[in-house]
Amino acid sequence: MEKLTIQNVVEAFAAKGLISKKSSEALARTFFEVIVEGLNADGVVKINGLGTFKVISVADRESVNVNNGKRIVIEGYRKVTFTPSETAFMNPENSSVSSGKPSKKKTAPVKKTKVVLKEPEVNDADLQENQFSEIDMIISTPESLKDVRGHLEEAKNRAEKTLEEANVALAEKVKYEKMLKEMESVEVKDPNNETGAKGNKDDNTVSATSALPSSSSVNTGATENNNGGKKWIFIVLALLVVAFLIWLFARSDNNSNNEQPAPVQPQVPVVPSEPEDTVEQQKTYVMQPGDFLARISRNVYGTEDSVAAIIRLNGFTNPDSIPVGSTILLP
Amino acid sequence: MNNRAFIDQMAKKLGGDADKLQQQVDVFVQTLLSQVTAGNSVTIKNFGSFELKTKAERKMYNPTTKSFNVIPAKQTIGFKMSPTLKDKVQK
Repeated sequence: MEKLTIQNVVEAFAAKGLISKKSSEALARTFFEVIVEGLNADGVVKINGLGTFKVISVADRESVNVNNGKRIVIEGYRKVTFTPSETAFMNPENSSVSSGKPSKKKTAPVKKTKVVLKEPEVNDADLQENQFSEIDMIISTPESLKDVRGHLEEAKNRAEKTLEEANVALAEKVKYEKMLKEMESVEVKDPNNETGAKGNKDDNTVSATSALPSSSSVNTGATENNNGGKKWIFIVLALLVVAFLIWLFARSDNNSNNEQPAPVQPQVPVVPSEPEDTVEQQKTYVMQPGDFLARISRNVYGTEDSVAAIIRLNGFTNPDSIPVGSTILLP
Repeated sequence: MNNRAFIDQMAKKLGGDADKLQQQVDVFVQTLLSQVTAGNSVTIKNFGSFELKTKAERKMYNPTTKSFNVIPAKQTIGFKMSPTLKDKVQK
């Protein structure tokens, strides 16, 4: 590993003959100057093909002085990080190096890279030759071409056959539809013809026509019967629905009737509840050790709001100290 | 600061066409990287140094598939800022 300075890089750059050595130096100087300016201004500088420079802040941290064992604080600071771009290794010059093995074997990099470069060239050439020969084989064999042509023709013939069949089927379908339409028109006309011109026609035609109307009449009768049955079913269903609605209405009436007397009934027990209240008014409570009025009120009434009423009723002057065993009146 | 702003700033300082400068900068960056990736360390005065670093292979746990994978060793470019640059970026 050689230690190079930017001077070496500038010389190598100038050797490419793009610009003079003097302006190459100026370019390199401004290059890094502008990076520093950008870092101070934005904190981030992105350069195509190279990577990203970023300023990050490092927080304070505690450490131990190894000489005296005392804890010391290393103050936070800002540092510049560099993330190489993905294309940084993708230059053709670098690819052989980057894809090589770790740096331990890079003590003599130039010679080894040359060797590495030679090998893939040979391999590539071999591969290309093989590929071409295979392609040639494929192209040069006329049998495979014939096979392909034969397959194509077969497929074409099959497709044509199916098309013809489909056309024939379509034509037959159209014929049948026409026949059906004619039959329908005959059926519609038949009842009128039957009464007027029965005797004029031949026996065959008459039998045919008589056969047709009879079947049609049977059909219509059946449909009428069906319609009649359906009507009946509808009527029955409608009746059922009406009956259900009436039942629901009556039930709701009953409920409303039930609801009305319901409040009446509680009114009756209200009267006996009043005497209960008078009984409660006479209720007393014997103070137990650790009792206090708020707890008694909570236990008896469910809230602590009645404490004031208890105090008022008993005329306590010091409700915080009531002797144990004394009886108090409850409102 | 993106690449465009960087090149514009450089063009302002050097004077000249930004597109031409971009080409020159590309070649310059390639030259620098070729030296670094060849295994040499390149030191830039008052800025820092670039060198090739090898990252050892490491095991990685994928919590979705709950499997351990080995990420192979790879090479990357390391940068170490110079003390002068460190002083410049403190605020």
